[in-house]
Amino acid sequence: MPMPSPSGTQSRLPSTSWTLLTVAAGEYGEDSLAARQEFLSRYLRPVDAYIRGILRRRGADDSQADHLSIAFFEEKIFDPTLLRAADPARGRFRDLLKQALRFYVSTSLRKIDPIADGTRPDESVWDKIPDPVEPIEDVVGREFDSAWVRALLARTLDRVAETCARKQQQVHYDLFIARYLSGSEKPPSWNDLARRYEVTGESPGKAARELAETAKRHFRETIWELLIDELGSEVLAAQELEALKAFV
Amino acid sequence: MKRSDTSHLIDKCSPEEMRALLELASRPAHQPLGLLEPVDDLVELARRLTVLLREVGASGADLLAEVANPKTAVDRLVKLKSLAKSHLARAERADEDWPVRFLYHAAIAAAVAHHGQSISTIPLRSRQELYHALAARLRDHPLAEVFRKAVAGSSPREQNQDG
Repeated sequence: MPMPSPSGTQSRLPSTSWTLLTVAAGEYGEDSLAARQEFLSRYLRPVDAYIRGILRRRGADDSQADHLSIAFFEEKIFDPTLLRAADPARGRFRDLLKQALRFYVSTSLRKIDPIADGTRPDESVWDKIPDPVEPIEDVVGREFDSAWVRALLARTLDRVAETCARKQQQVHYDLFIARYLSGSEKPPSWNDLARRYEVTGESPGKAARELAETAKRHFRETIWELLIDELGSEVLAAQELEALKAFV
Repeated sequence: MKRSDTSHLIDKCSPEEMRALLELASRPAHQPLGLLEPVDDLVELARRLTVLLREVGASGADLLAEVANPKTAVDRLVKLKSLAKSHLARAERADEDWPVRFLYHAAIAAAVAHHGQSISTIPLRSRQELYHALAARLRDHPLAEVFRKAVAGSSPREQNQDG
């Protein structure tokens, strides 16, 4: 399925994680570069959070995290010979990625000779995923999950910001952000927001709320489009949304 | 707003705020959950539709019959879909919205089934599972055929892309 670009046009990029990954690991070219960029925008944040979490807990310098994150993608994820071992039927992409990452970071940090460890240099991280997939409930895993949600929300807000800019709805977006991401326990009242953003009329508070409602609708639609893109079905997207709530 | 600004916003976002944002996403017009069970009783569905869309002044049964009618024009189906969508955007109670959500899906399915046109930005294939289940649940009702044909519809032309 084509993926909508920020401008609202349709790009040729595939959408689900597996199809995107197949293109990313494909022959070097415009498509693979674009797919890699999209793939990184989806997953770099949780991968980076996961690696930093492990490094911190081991008392290691977490400045290595940047290097390890990129190396993980370049060496293990975007390598077409290793991708063959990846089997979409084995479970949710997020869980498989997390487990592949655990294995990669673990072997990298132990500095074990890959051959001595029984792992051939050309062996896929996907091979190391236990079958059936075992749940991971450690603290670092939860950091990964939380970063996963943040990455999704960041991508959603990026697109909402672009949509609002395109439709000349900047104040709609600003009101939405000010209300829902105020950083305080008690969000500002609509009347306060109306004053701050100079919304006037008979009932400024109500008008401010209605303007924010438009951005809220963009937010809802965008996050669903992203989830459906990612998972390929509305039912799976609904299940994913419920699962994500448990991560925060 | 630049991408880095958005990332910064999300980085400092509290768990409560993240949860609130995810909750906002829980009631889209096209949310499929909670739709299957109630359609067993289409009389009740139509009655509740009449109440929920009272500002339109039409009976729910008439609206559903209109959607099921192959002669209903695409423009009219787009209007019905938009009507349902705007109601859902304003609705406060997700668990009481299912008749309107059903109308929303039925209008989209009818456009594909009767005119071979997609009137939604959400690709039909992502809804095949839901529409297949609805067709099975509705059995002999004319709307069952609408959902069946929509699932079987191939390569509908993109028409309106407003959600």
